[in-house]
Amino acid sequence: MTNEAQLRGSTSIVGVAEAGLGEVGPDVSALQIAGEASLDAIADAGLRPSDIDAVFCHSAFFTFPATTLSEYLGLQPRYVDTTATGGSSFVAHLRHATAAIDAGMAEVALIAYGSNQHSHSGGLATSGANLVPSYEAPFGPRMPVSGYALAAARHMHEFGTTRKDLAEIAVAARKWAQLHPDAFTRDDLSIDDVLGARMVSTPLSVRDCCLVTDGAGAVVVTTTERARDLRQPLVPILSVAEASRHMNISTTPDLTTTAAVESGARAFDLAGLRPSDVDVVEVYDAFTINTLLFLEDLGFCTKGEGGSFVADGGIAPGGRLPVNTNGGGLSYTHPGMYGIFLIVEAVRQLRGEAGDRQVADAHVGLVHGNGGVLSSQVTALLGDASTL
Amino acid sequence: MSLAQERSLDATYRRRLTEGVLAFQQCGGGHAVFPPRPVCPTCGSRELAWAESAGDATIYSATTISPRDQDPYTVVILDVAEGFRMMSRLDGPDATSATIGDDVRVEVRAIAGGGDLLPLAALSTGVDA
Repeated sequence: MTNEAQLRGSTSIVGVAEAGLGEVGPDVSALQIAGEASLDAIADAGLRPSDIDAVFCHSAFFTFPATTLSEYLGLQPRYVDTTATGGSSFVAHLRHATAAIDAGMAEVALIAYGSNQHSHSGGLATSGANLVPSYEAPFGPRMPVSGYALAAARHMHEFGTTRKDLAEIAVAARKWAQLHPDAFTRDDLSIDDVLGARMVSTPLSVRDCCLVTDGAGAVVVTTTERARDLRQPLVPILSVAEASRHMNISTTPDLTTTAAVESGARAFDLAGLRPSDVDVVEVYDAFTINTLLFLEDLGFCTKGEGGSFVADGGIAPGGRLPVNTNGGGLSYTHPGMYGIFLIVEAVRQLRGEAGDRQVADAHVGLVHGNGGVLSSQVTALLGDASTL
Repeated sequence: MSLAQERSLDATYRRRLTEGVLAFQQCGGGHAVFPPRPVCPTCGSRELAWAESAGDATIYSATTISPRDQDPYTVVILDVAEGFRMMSRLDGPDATSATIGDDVRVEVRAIAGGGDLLPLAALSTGVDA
């Protein structure tokens, strides 16, 4: 049996694409834009749809997501996976695809997501009806924001983190978005704008919350051996690790330390890397507090020091660490589940095709997906050819 | 009580609320288990017995929500003295005066405006003190 560390670099991301970002209009389905992103990602790799033999998909907008998408695109996969861990699903799919490819169960995997939540309702769609009684909903939390607000409030209580620290994160995201032509929000944003914005669930204001947009993304994964013959610069998957401690926020053992501590440590160990080796960081910023928690939990700074790490433009363009270089869920796009877009941006950075926002000498990228309410945590380390 | 209620852990919990009791489970190893389930997530024991909380708790975290069309309220996560964590809510005069670390009392009543009986929080120094 393969030791997981032996999988380091055995697969690579060979195609990426996005479709329908922002607002597609009321009659364009989530399935359509997921399909468009998939076809574009396959073409980006220089492959044909008939090359795809594994399909990974999760959606709150169409049932049996991987099976539905396969039918829609005329794919007949021999490996199908609808792992549903919320927004982290697509990062988890990278790991599951790597395992399937290593086991000979598949050779070329498509991972896709699409959502028209902005045009459809303007609100969040949940992943299917929940027929299990809730021990949270009757108390009136505004989910998911209240779950993250509870984490932020506790972080402030324990470590003295301030709303201004969180505002730094929103402002940094906006400054990155201003370098990306496809970002949904590119107008100027100041610390005072964030602090003065309408409060949603204390201590988080509307400017601490991600966007509600449409959008689809897709990536194609195959063996690194085959990737060397394809048209794009090599982006090997160095490691992926998953962890979770809770589903419902009220059952979490610790509101200020997430299971990213475990997924991050395992991912670094499997890749033989440390946080100081990472050139570009893409973490799931559904809310400003997420970025702070994940920078701490993944080891970029110590627990409780996130506020000073992000202060004074620390993660903005030109800061000490490039984080969420497309503008993130806060300013780039956020169609319900953001995980696929983390991967797409990391790949673009590692290929050196990120235009005005390109990070110089980007060889190692970290992608961190979050699902539920700080529930599912999945960390991936991606590289360029120099990391093999 | 019906047999169906006894079979359902969720229904047993709700029935105890109608009797004014916040019920939780305890395993033989002394772990408190909440929300109800068929196994202790700490030690794996399936020998669980129902117990009653005395209602003493501390606020672990809190977030205040101010809807446009109703009074503000605060959603809290409580550390209940018997050793479990749960979501609850402060409303009425206590709605916005609680902070993390405050001691509260858990009272089974309906949210202002009606609805099901719920284990709601009240500041220990508040109207019921």
